Amino acid sequence: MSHGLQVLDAAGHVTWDSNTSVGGVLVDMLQASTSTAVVRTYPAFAGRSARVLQADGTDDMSATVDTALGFPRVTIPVTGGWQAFYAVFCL
Amino acid sequence: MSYGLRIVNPAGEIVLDADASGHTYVGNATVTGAQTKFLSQLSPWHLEWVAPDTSVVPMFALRADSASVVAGGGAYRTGSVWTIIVHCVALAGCAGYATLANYTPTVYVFAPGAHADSHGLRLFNSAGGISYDLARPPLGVREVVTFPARAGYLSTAGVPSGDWAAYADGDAVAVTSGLTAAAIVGASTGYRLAQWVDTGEPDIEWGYGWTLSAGQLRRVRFWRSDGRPYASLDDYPAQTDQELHLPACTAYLADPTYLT
Repeated sequence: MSHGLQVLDAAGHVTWDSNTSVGGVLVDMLQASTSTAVVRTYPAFAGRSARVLQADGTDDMSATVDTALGFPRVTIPVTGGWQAFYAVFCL
Repeated sequence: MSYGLRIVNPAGEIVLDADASGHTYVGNATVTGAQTKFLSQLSPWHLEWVAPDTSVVPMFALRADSASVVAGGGAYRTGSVWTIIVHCVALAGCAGYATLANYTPTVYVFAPGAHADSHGLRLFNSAGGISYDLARPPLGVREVVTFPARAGYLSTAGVPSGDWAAYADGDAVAVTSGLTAAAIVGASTGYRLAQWVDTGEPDIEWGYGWTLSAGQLRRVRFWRSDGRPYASLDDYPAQTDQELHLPACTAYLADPTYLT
């Protein structure tokens, strides 16, 4: 590599390389609430976008992302009683 | 950020940041309950991972490869004990109830916090907490793939329409990063539905899972829910209406090679 960062394990294998990594950086893991929507903002990532993935393998993809504040804001709607987890990536 | 370390890849995406959550690989979840078959129902695998404390929310990644079909079915916690629900069968024979064979899933766990290793690199956030301990690899996503929503219909006369082929043959996207196996994150895989509809209510539902081979990530049918054993996934009564509803979803694919 000509630039960037690599992480190596004890055997010398490159286990992570900034030049081949994509998709943003994981900044938060959120659990939906049964009573109120969960809203989180990420001002440290001003000017960037975000992507929310359902983190537990279920199929509710109702989280929303906006940047009206100039940085990512994520809204997780109220869940119906089950535990639901979301991963927030900032790009 | 006003200070600290940020690394951006050649495409302009942030891939490491001192203000990130700092999830690094901490091990694999342990199987606590095996998958079982009963009257066409497939009771899933249960796996467990114990967090160091109740404030930790881990990220789980399912191993997808060419030998198996895997689908997440949810995760929940009781205190610091996390339970992960997974359907996983051998790809060979996955289309018939009699030949459906269990395949032990691998679930990789990523969590924040310091490691005991005596080497590596630590990043600290603005509050002085460890945001990354790079003695272990962070979640390294190699490729992001997106599946479109699919909708199709097979009439009682056997006439397909819409995306019916995606139901019958599976749905695939190309994997261009060269991965031959993947730690798959975030794909909403549980209970993708194709429905046999009778008198307005779905009587049979098919589940879809992931398999990765020959440069393609596919979501394929591998089990269905109804009250009787079946010879094949297409073994349903004649004169039925069938509908297909496969939601769009996005999957993050990481390289699992050194997650040991």
